[in-house]
Parts: sequence; structure tokens; C-alpha cells
Amino acid sequence: MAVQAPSQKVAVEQYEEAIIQCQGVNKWYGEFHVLKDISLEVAPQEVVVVIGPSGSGKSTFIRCINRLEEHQEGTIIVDGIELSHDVRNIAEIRRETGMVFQQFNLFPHLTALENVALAPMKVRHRSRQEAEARAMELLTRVGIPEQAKKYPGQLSGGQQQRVAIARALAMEPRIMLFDEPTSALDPEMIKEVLDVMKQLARSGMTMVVVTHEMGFAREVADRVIFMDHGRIVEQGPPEHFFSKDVEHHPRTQEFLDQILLSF
Amino acid sequence: MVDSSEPKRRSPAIAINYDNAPPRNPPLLEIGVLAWVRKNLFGSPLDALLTIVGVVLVAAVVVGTIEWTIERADWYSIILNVDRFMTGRLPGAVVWRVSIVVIFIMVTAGVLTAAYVRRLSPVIPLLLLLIALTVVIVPALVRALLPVPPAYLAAGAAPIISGTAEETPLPAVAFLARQNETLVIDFPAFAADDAGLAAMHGIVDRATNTLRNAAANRLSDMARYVEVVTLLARDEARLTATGGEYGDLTENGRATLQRELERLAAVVPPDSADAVAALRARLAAPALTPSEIDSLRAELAALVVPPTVVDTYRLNGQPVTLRLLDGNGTPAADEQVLVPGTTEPVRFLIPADGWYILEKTLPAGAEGAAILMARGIAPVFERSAGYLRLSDMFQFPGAAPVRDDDSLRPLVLNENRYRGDRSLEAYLYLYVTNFLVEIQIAVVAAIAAAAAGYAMAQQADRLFSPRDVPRRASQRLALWLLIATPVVVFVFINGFDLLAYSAALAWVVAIYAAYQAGLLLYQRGASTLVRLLAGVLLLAGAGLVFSLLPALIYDLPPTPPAFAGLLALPVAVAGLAGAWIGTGAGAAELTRRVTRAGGLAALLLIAPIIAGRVLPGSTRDSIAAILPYIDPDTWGGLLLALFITIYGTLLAFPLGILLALGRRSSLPAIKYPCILVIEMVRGTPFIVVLFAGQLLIPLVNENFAAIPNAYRALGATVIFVAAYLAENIRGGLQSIPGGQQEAGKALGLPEWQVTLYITLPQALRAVIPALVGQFISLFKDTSLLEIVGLTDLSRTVTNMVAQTEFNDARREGLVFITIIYFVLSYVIAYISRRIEESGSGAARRI
Ligand SMILES: Nc1ncnc2c1ncn2[C@@H]1O[C@H](COP(=O)(O)OP(=O)(O)O)[C@@H](O)[C@H]1O
Ligand SMILES: [Mg+2]
Repeated sequence: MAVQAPSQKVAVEQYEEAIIQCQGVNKWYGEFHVLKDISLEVAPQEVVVVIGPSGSGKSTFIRCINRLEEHQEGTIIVDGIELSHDVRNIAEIRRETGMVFQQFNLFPHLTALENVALAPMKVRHRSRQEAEARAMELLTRVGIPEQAKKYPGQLSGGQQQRVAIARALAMEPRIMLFDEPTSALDPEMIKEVLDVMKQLARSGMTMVVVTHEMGFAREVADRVIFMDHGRIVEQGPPEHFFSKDVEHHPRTQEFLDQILLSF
Repeated sequence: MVDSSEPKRRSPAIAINYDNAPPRNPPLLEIGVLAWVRKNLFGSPLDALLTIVGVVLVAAVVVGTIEWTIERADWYSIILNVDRFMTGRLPGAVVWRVSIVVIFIMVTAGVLTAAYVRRLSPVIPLLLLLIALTVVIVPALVRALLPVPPAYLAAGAAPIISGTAEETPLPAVAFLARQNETLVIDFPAFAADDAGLAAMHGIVDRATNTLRNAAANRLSDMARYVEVVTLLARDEARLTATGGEYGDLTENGRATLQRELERLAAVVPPDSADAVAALRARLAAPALTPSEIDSLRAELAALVVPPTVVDTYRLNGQPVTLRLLDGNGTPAADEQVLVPGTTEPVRFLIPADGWYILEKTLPAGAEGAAILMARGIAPVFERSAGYLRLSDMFQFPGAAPVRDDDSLRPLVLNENRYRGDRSLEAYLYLYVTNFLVEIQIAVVAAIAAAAAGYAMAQQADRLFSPRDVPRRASQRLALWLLIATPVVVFVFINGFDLLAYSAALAWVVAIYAAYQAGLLLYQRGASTLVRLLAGVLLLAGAGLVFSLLPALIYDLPPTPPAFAGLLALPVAVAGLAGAWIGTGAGAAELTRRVTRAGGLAALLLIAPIIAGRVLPGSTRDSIAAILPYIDPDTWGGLLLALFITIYGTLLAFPLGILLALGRRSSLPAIKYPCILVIEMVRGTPFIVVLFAGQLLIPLVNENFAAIPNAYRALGATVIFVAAYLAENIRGGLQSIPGGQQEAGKALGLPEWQVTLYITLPQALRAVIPALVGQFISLFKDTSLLEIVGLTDLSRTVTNMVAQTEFNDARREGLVFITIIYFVLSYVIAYISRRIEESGSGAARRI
């Protein structure tokens, strides 16, 4: 299964530059320095997993990528568009990036189908029929076509998160951002969401995923990034993080020990 | 815990219970009604006390109210003013329009119920059926089973005197009767003695009432005479006993009683003043036992027996000659004589519907009077359409017969009231039945319309709804009906020239067409300049058309440019909005929409122009006469209250949303004016806002003083309600978690679309209960409209009391409007609760 059109894959291969480029990004909440000199490049089709202790700035960082948060220093260039105050740039970048939240954030007054079809209709000016047909296709891909007419309140957490993924995909984004997509789920539902994400990764989607699911990182990630206190402390391929015999930064080691213990 | 030094527990002896006892009933006090009473009413001494106090209080209120309702209240005040309470002074010729509106609303209510109420409790249809049956069957039953309450008419030539009142019976009265009815006239049995006369009750004419009062006064004066003599004597006894120090009475009290005694002695003179003086001396003896006093009083009472009223007037002791004439004064039946002592009453058969005159005379030269009990005669009430017979609401057009010398009068309600405490029978016959008859058609039609709407919606679902959305058809229908309701109500209640409506509709369609044209421009990828140019063109074109329209249709002077511009503005704005918002629809589809809507708008515009130019004036007038304009100043009662409530809320809604969004805006230039409006209105009582509407609007522009009062009040109401709605909606918006907005933004929706499609719909659902509360409190607040000169329900009561017939009926009027307010508010609250439960409202949130 391919979530992205094959023709786009060819296009991606020709893509020389990174699809996300962050250079010296700094952000403050008032006096509080959340992000410190973050520099990161993500190549097209790359899957980057961001890990790190709670409060280390992971959410803030990926929310800067689609401008849900504003950064104060440095540059962020997404798909060749630089993030600035220009409203049109922001709108364009948001159309290119889908985001999935920890709390799903589905629209409770709309059915699953309407949730997915809303943005294509309003932003991309698709006709209702077209948008709903496409939405149905996406719901089929995430495995819940039979829930299309239900309201979010009638769905399980796992089903809601899959609708949320379908909703983000409906805008045909080139990048998907995931902020702890499985943290609010009961254990038996985590797998169904991770499976969808794995398929997505295999289809060539560029993904930045904040997660503590180490199994997922090991299997899918091209690169793992460890953040602490607003800084990228360590990055490398998953094998680097999960092999016992390499030397890590002490903070990384501490974090890994904790996380791997709980496995 | 267990101390180890304790001896080990003994193992228990083995015991097996083979006894298989049958289950027993619980004690009587633990089940059923008794248990409920014991637990809930008399659970503790305090509960018992509160229960008893509560029951006593409730009983006192309920018993008093029921007694008043049945025995004394004048419900004709309500029955004869129902139309005023419902529609005010609305001309009778346009009441059918209100009926259509009511039917439409009831059909909508039925459809809404079918579409949105998940499980209709069977109580509701049963209750409605019961109401419909009651309204139809009770009048029929009462009329079939109970006798018509008789009217009591006095006859005789001599004046009847009671105290200072003097009344001579009318020699003839006019009344309404129907074909084949029998008029039965007899001497009433109660007139045999004064006690019976004093205790009589029924519809009586003034002379009969004077007789009744004379008898009642005589009896009470006699009793009071004995009372006063006794009081004075006992006072004297006390004075003697205390050596003149103090008596039973104060100086003043004694003097008052003395005066009263003098008056009574003149009215009810005792047989012998000496005997009274002797008795009084015996009563003044210091130490009398109560039984001794009683026997002395009895002796005194025997001395004070003035001639009875019955004897004075030789009541019903002489034959009465009765003649029945028709309305023109020609005899309608043979003359008959009612002779005292015979058991046979006099009967007249009524030959045809209409006015009749009953002449009742005692033999020539006879002194005294007679009271006749007439079954088949009832008071009448004058309406614009003729006279109404109040026993059964039979209406007969035209004037009542009169004679120049005033010897004949119609038996009008004002002079022929029900006197004395009514019996239940008379209450049922005269009031309940007639009230139900007055509202019968309206109630049955309304219930039938609701049932029809319900059935129609269900049928629609059966035929058109897909299986997975079983109520789609009915919900669409309900939505359309809901949208149509305010329009239908306005068109029918306000009325207007059809040509004007056509032009107004053209305006709406033109706005739509302009929007579609804008979308087409966007689709074509027009440059900003072209789009702006198109907007200007739309503004100019529409402005030109609107400024010329009145001249073209009605030969009126052209509309002032400012007003035409105001009308053209929405057209231009719609076009520009379309050009910037854009759509994904194809060019062909858009072109089709533009041509269709544009064509329709042109047609709607041109039709009235052609009609206005081509049609002869008379035809134009007859078109205008289909729904002629109704002066809003004639609206009143419930109609006015509902008009202000419904349109007040409806129009306040968009304004409230704008104020709420404005208050949340980050732009100070928008935010602070919104805060100012909201807080100023919320900090001001409704009355003041209403007055401001009345007084300030004409200040804005002098011509605005011509706006009808009702519309100025509506304007003030809209602003008042909008301020409160704004705060409710803002609360609703605040209750939406921030993640909703983020999710919308992350999808690339611009901020206004996030508000429009995501936060606002959720906020509105969350505030439905508050909205209904607003609606109900506004409905109740319409009772303040009186103060700015509108005829709301409470003003209707005031107007009603101004009628001579109903001077004393303020209480009845207030009770009636209380019932109207309560029933409607309760029904609205109930319906909204059910809709919330059905999950169409806030309940859908996670
Ligand atoms: N809106 C905000 N205002 C102020 N401080 C914030 C805000 N959002 C997050 N923070 C702080 O920024 C830090 C990083 O937060 P976050 O990015 O959510 O961490 P993570 O996702 O890694 O757990 C935390 O210390 C948090 O308290
Ligand atoms: Mg986080």
C-alpha cells in the first residue's frame, strides 16, 4: 500500500536538499529558554524519531515546524518555504505538513468521515463528493471504513487516533508530524496505531515522530534524536541507541536505562 | 491485633439447618404505599411536622383558590376577551393569517419531534389526545346532562327598595333564542320566604338583585340588632360590677354601638320598645350564665320581627301575564298567565333564531312584585359582529331591539350578572363549557396539525431515508421548516404587497448570484484588480437598480442613494467574498449556478416592474389585498409577546455571535467597543433599554420616529438579548479545548474557517440550555413592554378591566396570563430538555 502517489517518489529522489531544515532555532517562553540552538535537517522520506524526558522541549520543537509555536531565533525552512510572519507562507506550510496529536483532537461535532473530508473541502476546494470519496478511501487504509458515520465520542481511542491520521493524510501532506500519538492509548490499542504508522513510513512519507515506543523506533526510524533541556544531545541511527556497547552521553544513558528498564 | 496469649478460639459445634422455611412477606409497613409514606413523609418527628405544615399550607391555598374559581370568579372576563389575549386588537378580517401561522408552527413542531426526539414517551400523544377530546366532549356532555342555568327576572310596576337602592323591574326584556328551544317560566321555590330569597344565587336582573339584597339585609339587621343590644347590656353589667370604673367597651366603642343601635331601630323597629327595654335591663344583670344570656337573646329576637320582604312586595302572590314578541314587536306566541299556586310553568316554543321580547306584567293596579325563573333566557354581550348569548356563545348579527321610552332593554351581562355563590353546575355550564367552545377549533386544529406533521415526517423517513441514517429525510424537512418559519410568520403577520416581497426575494437571490459569480472569478484565476473591479461594478449596478425600483413599480420618488447603496452593499460584499474564498467546483457548474440565480433574480425584479407598469390599478390593489399590511400597533397579547420573543432571539443570535467573537478578538479597536456594548447593556435593566429604544432611535434620524412602536421595541430587545447571548457564546467558546483550534490550524484552515466550522458550532451546541433559558426569560420579560405603550399580556388585563362589564376582574385576568406564561415556558423548557437528551445538542461532545 502506498499512501503517497508513486510519481511523487520519483520526484523525491530528485530532491537534493533536506525537506526540513532547522538552523540555530531558539525559543523562549517568557524568560524560560525552551529550545536552545536546535539545528536539524530531515531528508525526504526520512523517518526521524525524537525521544527525551518529559519537558525537554520535544513537543515545542515539532510544533515549531508547522508554526503552531513561533520561534524567536534561527531559521526553519520546510519544503523550500521559510517560516516567517507571512500568513501565506504559514498557510502553505501547514498544507504540506500533517500533524497528529497525543489527545487526537478530533472534531466532536462531526462524524469520522466529515472530520477527514472537512479540510480538503474548505482549503483545497474539493467538492463534497470528491472529498468524501477520498476520505472513505483513507478510512479504509487506516482500517476503519465501517466507523465512517460515527461521531468521535462513539469510537475507541485507537480508532480515534487512526481517524486523526486519516484526517491529516487527507490534505496530502509531504511531511507528517506525530506528537506522542500512542501515549493516551490503552496498551491494547497502541499496536493498531503503530501499524498504521509503520505502513505510512514504508510508503515513503517523511515523518518526525515524538514517541517512547522503542520498538517502533528500532523498526522504522532512520534516525533517532535525543533531546534534553531544549538541546539535541545525541543523534544517530537506531542501532546506535539500542546497542549496549557504545558510549552515550551520560543523560542519554540515564534516559535509556530508565526507558529500557520499563520494557 | 489478636493477642497471642489469649486462648485459642473454640471450634464451633457442627450444626446443619435442614429447615426449608417458605418465604414470608415483609412487614406491612415496609412495602408499598405505607412504606413510602412512612419513609418520605414521617421519617422523623421533624419530617412529620414539616409534612403536616406543608399539607396544611397547600390545602389552604388550593381550597381557597378552587372555591374562588368555582363560586365567585367572573370568567366571562376571560372568555369574552380570549381574542384580545391572543392577538390584541388585530382586525378580525386578518385573524385567519394568524391561524395559518399557528398551523404552520404546529406542523413544524410535529416534524421536529419525529426528526429529533429519540423515543417519544407515549404520555405526550395520549395527553394531547386527551386535551383534544376534553375540549370537544366536555361541552357536549355538560350541555346534554346539565340543565341550562335559569335567569331570574323581576316583574311589577312598583319600585323595589333596599337601603338607599331603588330599582323598578323592567316591563320587558329582549333576549336571544334559537329555533325549537322552549322557554320555560315559573315562580322559583326559594322565593317563598326571606331566608330563601337571601340565599338565592343565579343570573339575576337588577330588580331581583335588589329584592335579594333587601331580604339579606333584613335578616342581618335583625341579627345585628339583638347582637348590639346584648353587647351594650353586658357592657353595662360590667360597668355596674366595677363601680363604673370600666366596662367591656371603650368610650368610643360604646358611642359607635349606640349610634348603630339607633340606625337599626329605625330599619328593623321592634314590636314594643318597652319590652326591649325590659329585656335589656335583664341582660344587664351582672352575673348571667351563657345559657341564660342565650335564652334572653332568643326572647329579644322574637320581638324584632319587621314585615318580611316577601310579604311587603306580596312576592309571587299575584298572577303574571307573559307575552312573547319577536324582535320587531309582533307577537310570537299566545299570551299566557302564570298563576301562583299552580304547578304548571308557562312554556313558549321559539319559532326561529333571533331576538325575542318578553313582556311580564302584574294585574293592573297591583302593588308588589314577582320573581320569575326563566329557563332559556341568558344574558347577552355585544360584539362588533353582533350579540353573543352567554349560555352557549350563540351569535346573532345586528342590533338589539329597543323602545324609545326605555321600557325595553336587552338582557346585557352588565345588568344581569351571576349573583351569590355559584354552584358547580352553573360553573361548568356557563364558564368551563363556553371557554372550551371558544378555544375548541384552535386547540383541535393545532393538535391535528402537530400530529399531521409527525406523521408526514415519519412517512418521509420511510420513503426517502437511507437505512444507515434512518432520520435523514425528516431532519432535512425539519431544518427547512425551521428556516422557513420566521419568514412565513413575518410574511403572514406583517403582511405586505406581493410586489414588494418579490423585489425583496430578488435581492436575496441577487446576493447568492453575486457570491457564485465571485467564485467563478476565483476559479478563472482572475487577478486582484479584476476582482476588485467586479466588486465595484456589482455595487454600482445593484445600487442603480435598487434606487430606481420603487419608481418603476409604484411611481414613487427614487430611493435615496444612501439607502440604495446600503441595499447594494451585501451584493458587492458577497461577490468579493466569493472571489477571495473560492471553491473547487468546476467552471461549468459555477456558470450554471450564476446564470440560474442571476436569471431568477432578474425575473423576480422584472415581474413586479412589469406588473407595476402594466397592471391596471385595481388589479394591483387586489394583489396588494391578498396579504395587506397590518399595522403593528394593533398587535397585542400573546401574538406580540411571541413576536418579540422569537424575532428578538433570532435576530439577536448573529449579533450575539459577532459580539462574542469581537470580544475575543486581539484587535483593541474591535475588542473594546464590543466589551463596552456588552457590559453596558448587561448593566442596565431591560426596561431602561426598552425606553432607550423608544427615545434614542428617533434621535439618530428624525424619520425613525415613524418606525412602529413594536419594531422599535424589537430593536431594543435584540440588542439586550444579544449582549447576554454574547456572554453565553463566549463561555461556550472558552469551554472548547485549545486542541480543537490547533487541530484546525494544523490542517491549514484559516482562522475564520476554524471559528466558523470548528469552534463556533461546538460552542453553540454547548450553550443550547443557556439559549433556551434566555428565550424563556425574554418571553416572561415581554410583560415589561406595557411600559413603552405596547399591548402585551399584562396591558391586555388592564384594558380588559377598563370595560364596564369587567371592572372587578383584574384577578381573573392575572390568573389567566399567569397560566399562559407558565404553560408556554414549561412546554418550551420541556422540549429543549428532550432535544438535548436526543443528542443533537451538547450531549454529542465526548
Ligand atoms: N505555552 C507554554 N508556556 C510556558 N511554558 C511552556 C509552554 N508550553 C510548554 N512549556 C514548557 O516548556 C517545556 C517544554 O515543553 P514540551 O515541549 O511540552 O516538552 P515535552 O514535549 O518534551 O514533554 C516544559 O518545561 C513546559 O513546562
Ligand atoms: Mg510533549
